[in-house]
Amino acid sequence: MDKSKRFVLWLEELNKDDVYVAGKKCCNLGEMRQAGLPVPPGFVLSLEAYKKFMKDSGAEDAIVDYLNNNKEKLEKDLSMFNDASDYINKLIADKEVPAELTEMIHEYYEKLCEDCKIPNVPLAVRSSGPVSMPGQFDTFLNIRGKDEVVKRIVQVWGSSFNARAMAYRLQRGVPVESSPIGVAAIKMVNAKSSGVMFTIDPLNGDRSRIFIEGSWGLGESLVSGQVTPDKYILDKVTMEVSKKTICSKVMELIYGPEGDVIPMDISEDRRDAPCLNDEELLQLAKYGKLIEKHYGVPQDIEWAVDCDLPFPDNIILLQTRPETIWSKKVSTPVLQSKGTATEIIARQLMQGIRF
Amino acid sequence: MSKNQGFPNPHEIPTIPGTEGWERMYPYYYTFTTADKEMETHENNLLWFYDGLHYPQPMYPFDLIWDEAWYVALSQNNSRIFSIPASMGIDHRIINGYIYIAPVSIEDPAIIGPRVEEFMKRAGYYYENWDELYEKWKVKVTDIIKTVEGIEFDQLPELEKESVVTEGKGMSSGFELVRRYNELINYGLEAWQYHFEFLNLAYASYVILADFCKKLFPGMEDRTLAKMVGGVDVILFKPDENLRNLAKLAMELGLNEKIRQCEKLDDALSALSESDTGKEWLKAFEDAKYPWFYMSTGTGWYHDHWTWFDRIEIPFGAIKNYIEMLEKGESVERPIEQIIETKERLVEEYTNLITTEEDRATFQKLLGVSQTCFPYLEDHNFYIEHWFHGVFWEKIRALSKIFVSHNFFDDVEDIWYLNRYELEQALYDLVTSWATGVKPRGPSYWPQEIEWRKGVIEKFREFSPPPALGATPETITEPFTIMLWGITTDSMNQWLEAGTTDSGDVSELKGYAASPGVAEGKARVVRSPDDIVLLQEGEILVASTTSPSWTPVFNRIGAAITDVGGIMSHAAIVCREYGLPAVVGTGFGTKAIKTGQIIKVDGDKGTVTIIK
Repeated sequence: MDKSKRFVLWLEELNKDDVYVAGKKCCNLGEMRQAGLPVPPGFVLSLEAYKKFMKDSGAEDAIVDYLNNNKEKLEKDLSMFNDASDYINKLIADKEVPAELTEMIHEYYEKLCEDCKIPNVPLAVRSSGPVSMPGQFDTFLNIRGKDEVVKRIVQVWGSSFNARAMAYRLQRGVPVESSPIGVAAIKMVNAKSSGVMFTIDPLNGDRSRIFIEGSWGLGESLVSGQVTPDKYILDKVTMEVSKKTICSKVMELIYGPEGDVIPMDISEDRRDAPCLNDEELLQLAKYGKLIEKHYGVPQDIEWAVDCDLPFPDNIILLQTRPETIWSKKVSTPVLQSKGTATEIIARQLMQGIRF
Repeated sequence: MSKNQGFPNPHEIPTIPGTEGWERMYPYYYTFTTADKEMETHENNLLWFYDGLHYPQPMYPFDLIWDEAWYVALSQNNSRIFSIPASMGIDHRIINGYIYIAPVSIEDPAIIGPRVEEFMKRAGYYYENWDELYEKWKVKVTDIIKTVEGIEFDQLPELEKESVVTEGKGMSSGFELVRRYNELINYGLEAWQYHFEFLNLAYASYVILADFCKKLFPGMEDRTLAKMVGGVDVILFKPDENLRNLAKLAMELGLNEKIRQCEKLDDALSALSESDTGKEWLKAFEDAKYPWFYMSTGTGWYHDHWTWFDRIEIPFGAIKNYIEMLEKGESVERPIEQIIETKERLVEEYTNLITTEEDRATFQKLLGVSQTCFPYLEDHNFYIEHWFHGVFWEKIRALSKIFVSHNFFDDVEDIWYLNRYELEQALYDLVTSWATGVKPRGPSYWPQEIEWRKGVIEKFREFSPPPALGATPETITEPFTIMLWGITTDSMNQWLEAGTTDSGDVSELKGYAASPGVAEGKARVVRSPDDIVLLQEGEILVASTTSPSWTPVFNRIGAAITDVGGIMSHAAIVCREYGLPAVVGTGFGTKAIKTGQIIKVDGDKGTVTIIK
């Protein structure tokens, strides 16, 4: 069956050209999985699934009615979108999901549990829009059980009606009543440590380096600057470690039972220990090299080490995007290449060498 | 150029009590001086660093000959032959028996400019005709060695043979003795002329390539570049390869157990001479010796760096070691194919990482020259420092026997306490006395002088030469200084820091990350080549500097640390080849580390930690 007509797909069925099938995030992850990279397994709800739900459940008609009735109010006062958002979200949550979709989600979830060999495997349920939109769509973490999964998917759909997104659609003249998004339902990573990896040295643009930063627990602690991360620099060609800086990491963020993020103090003996061992470091760097080769330009990657899985399956990549700062610079030759090797050597000897 | 006076003033280093007058053991122009004010200023304005890479021990007066030789040879190739644009030579001094050297650079653009044109012509000729010139080099150097091998020092006859008369020879054995001595010395100096014929240019090409790569890839390690330009069929490994082959032959002939059980080579000689297979192996052993057993157990720079010929148990022990490895099913082969494959892959992948067409072209050109030049960097030591020096020391010992028989010296090994000029005088004294029939002056002069000099050298051993003297330049720019001695602005600053603490209290040392990996183990401080037999399986070798002839022990050790040396020092090359972690150029590892301590060597970071 044509991909674009399907409601539910496995991540690995998607590639970078399928943005209008299931949104950017899903495609990105799908493309990574196809490239043989260790992205967490999962399935996605396509834009068609969104449309089917909205149509068959009657949500779309109800929304159109509501918006038409409140059109003037909304156009006059954008803050009214807050009320509208609350109303629409409740409306959507109360709608029945078409049986065909529910069955499919159940089927995919059960297959995923089976593949992971974890009953009621916990999932992260995230939105995946086909275009960049302002306003945060919802993400739900640590979701277990097939009915709960269906419920959260509907909530993510509902979040396409958050106030900012609707106001934005109104201003741009795109239909306010519908903005199909995909949903990614992927296995939660139980992160022992996490961080970022650049396949270029972000400090000097050296393309022969792989630069890794990491800390214990979830990556958010790193992003928010609450912890000074460990830094590792490897040679992209030889894969030898050229620099390791292990920092004292005083706290980490971990997931609570509800998928909420909890800060925890780190015991003294773990603080100064490297958050990646040599084996993990090398495996991660190998993936970095592979990703760059696949996409053709230096990449900025999010990674985690899963404590439930054995090495090397525990190395998980969460996201990759092209590095933007150095890669965009126009390269200029560092040396004048004119003449023979002797001429080049003479020119350089004349200047002297400063190490 | 003179900056803050962070290092000791070379004119203010105190003389060690009891060694007053030591200067007379060496040529007058080797001492720091305050008598000539212009010279004093020159000396104060240079950075003098201790050349522990070549001279981990104090200088015996005679052994100074090689320093005299390269003082001229390296310098003239920079300054007068190839017209290296911004470098003159390297100045040398001796203090308390230790050699200090200082690169002399040219900073005036008006002088540098015209030198460039000459450099292009001259260096260009060598770079373009390198292989052909190098083949010629091998021939002329081998010729010198063979000639020196043929020089004999015979006892002087009571009366010349009648043939001196009947053949109308017109000159005596006494004169012949003096002449042969001078010839030997001159061949030595000539060999060292050739030593630097290619060396400066080879280093220049490599240094420029390294500098270019640092511009393209600031984080790229020198060791990675060394792998891209390094030769595969390196003479350095040939002597060791012979030993591996002998071990394999022993296995094939079923002699492995027999050989392994022999404690000494002599036992093997008698045990094997009874059977045909034994004889076959012994013949192969004999065939493997020349010239490869001239491999020095040290760097070859000192007379007491014995060769494998002198210390035959070293290669024999290594053969037994290889036999044991083969019996355990381990491989004793150098992974040649893997080395070639790695080299090609590194070049290809690095080339692909270069983002402009122009730089890719420059990389190809500079890499090409360096690859052409590099085999010389790796091979020349065997010809000169090992083979030639090995023969040379033998000849000087033969000469010494004549002095001993004329009561100039008590022992053959006393000769090293005279410098080469004094030796010429002593020889003339001896020959004159033989000619005149009058007793020579030497026997009443040299023995007591030698006794005093022995005491002085022993006292010199207790002196810890500071890593550097004189002015601290803002940056180090002389290419040879950086590549060979590992002296950089960083290492200099580190020495300045270290100078303020007692080396005995240091728990972490920094150096060059010369070969990657991390190892922890018991330290074994090796102060002289004779100590290498003490190394136990898995121990970490700590030495002032290492010699490639120690290659067999690299199979046993867990890692290596040296006080002196850059990325191209022997320890660095051999460790990379053997996949052992190495940190070189730590400055004072042999002083800070004691044998038996547990230490951790991090060849990735370039650090050594003393754990307990």
